[in-house]
Amino acid sequence: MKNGVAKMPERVRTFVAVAIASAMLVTIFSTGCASSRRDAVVARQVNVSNRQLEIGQRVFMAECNQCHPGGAAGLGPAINNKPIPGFVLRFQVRHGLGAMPKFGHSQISSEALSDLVLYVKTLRHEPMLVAHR
Amino acid sequence: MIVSRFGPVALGLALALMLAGEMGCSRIRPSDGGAQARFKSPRRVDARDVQVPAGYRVQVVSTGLTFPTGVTFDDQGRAYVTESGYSYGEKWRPARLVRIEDDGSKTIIAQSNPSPWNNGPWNGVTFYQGSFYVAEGGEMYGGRILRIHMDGKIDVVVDHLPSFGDHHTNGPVIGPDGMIYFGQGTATNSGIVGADNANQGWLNRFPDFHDIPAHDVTLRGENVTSTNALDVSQAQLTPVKTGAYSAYGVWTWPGEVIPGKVPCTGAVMKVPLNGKGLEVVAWGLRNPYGLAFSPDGQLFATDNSYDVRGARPIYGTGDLLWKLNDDGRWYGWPDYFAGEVVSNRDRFQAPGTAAPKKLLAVDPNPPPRPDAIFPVHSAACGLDFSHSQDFGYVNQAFVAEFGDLAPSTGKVLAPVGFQIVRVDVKTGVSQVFAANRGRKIEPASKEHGRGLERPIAVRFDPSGKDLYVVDFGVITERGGKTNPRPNTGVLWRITREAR
Repeated sequence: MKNGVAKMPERVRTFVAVAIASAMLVTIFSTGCASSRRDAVVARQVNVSNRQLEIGQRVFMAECNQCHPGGAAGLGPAINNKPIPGFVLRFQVRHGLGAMPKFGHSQISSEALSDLVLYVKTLRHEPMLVAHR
Repeated sequence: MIVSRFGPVALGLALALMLAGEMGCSRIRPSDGGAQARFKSPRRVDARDVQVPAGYRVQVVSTGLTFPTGVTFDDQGRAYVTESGYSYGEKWRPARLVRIEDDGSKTIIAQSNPSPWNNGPWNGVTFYQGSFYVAEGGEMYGGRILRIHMDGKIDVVVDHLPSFGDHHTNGPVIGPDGMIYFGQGTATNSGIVGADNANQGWLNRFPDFHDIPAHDVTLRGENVTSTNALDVSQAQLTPVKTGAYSAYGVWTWPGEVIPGKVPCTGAVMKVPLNGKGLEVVAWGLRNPYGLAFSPDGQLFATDNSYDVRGARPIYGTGDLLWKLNDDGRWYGWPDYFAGEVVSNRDRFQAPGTAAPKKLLAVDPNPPPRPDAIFPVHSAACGLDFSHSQDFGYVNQAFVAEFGDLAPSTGKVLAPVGFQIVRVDVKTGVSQVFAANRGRKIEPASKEHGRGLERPIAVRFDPSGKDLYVVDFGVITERGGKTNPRPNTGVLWRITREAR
């Protein structure tokens, strides 16, 4: 397979690379500044099914919910509508970003941060309660 | 193959851009708060636009209320609502206590004087031993606790409360000890009088008014310089320097002691029904708006946190839920948020403003941590506890989030609040209980819907089966002006259907 790349003309390879980067950029910016994904999330009850998620939820409520209510946009941008990898979330929490402050180990321990990341990922996928009309 | 060769570069680029994009859109995007909407009168309501968990049902009880703030029930279970008589935006109407009849019509029980003698806002009501107790905000003559008899006669239980400023006299509730507990908000956002207080309206009426501590406090002598808000012609020529707990234009110096006094601002106080012997339950709060006793007799209060405005803007502070110990403890205002000092510039410095400096040289006591934190600018207001299995969620607190007033209180990227949440006070975890349908949680006026606008109070009926929600009505913000709309308030009821 490596030979296949090597055999591609230079201009084609450049074109493909630019195309991939452009597609990723469009995806990032279309989600990065998009409104939160809150469709029918009202009355949403996150299923905290194990101890890790329970701790993650408590940390989220104490430290994150203020700016990202339920993971949606508020003071800060939405975090429940983007596929942010766990290591990026960890980096962001530890180092801060823009208006977002950093959270040291005294505020969120390493174990609690792992639980928090798990909970934030759950916010993206948790099915909604069926609302009653 | 292509991914294996170009993937690491593209991925690195993508992550860098993702982070930059996150940072950029927070800074660049304009504010998009719930009040930044166009509203066309009249307000239309439809309970089907409000979403609640399965098994619960929403009903409209009464419409056409003007700035309603509280609901209570007499010993026959009939509902009564206070209409505030005043709203931010300097709109005045007579404050009223009205009974809501079975068909949703209103019978006036009592009414305040018309403007300019109106001393609103009436912020909340409770019924006890045949009378109503109302917190009168006191924009014109100071805060008062009123006793209103069933025939409409009004007695003053407590008066001369320091309530001329940004925040008012709130509550009240009757404790298990039979005493009246009420909140008294602060005069200012964060301890120093500034031009924002002229915008609120009160600084022009009461230029000497300022915050008052419950006990003596020693200052660090921090002063803030601003343009002259009281004399526009001299605005740029004669800057005004003002210190903490001081009148506009009065400096403070390091080591200066401000004498404590009761009644004070930023506190929860209690008083017997005869009005004699006012005591401080807790101080160092900012705007303790909603008060309720849990089923086991513990007092809780919601507390509206700092705004990004005025002489000492403070960024990123969510509203709080406190379990209050009745020991006169200080809870941290104006130097702490949720137990953390606000001079931490990484957390509390608003973009484009100076970092807030600590004002007190000595903390009265170590500030405690809250029991729950709500979203920034959500304006957590009224609360009550479920005490019946018929409704469910027993021992959980239900909190009305009035919603943001962006951009005047600070920028938000999306509407915040405009919903009812339930809180497990043991864990601090809150969940949405009632809000409008749609892509985002926002007021009906912004989404052109017919659901909730601004929930300001919640109260269970005496049976505990029904949760009543007081909806203040429409407020819009445009061109720096707050525009509350009369006759748009609604009383809703949420009931659990038969299981």
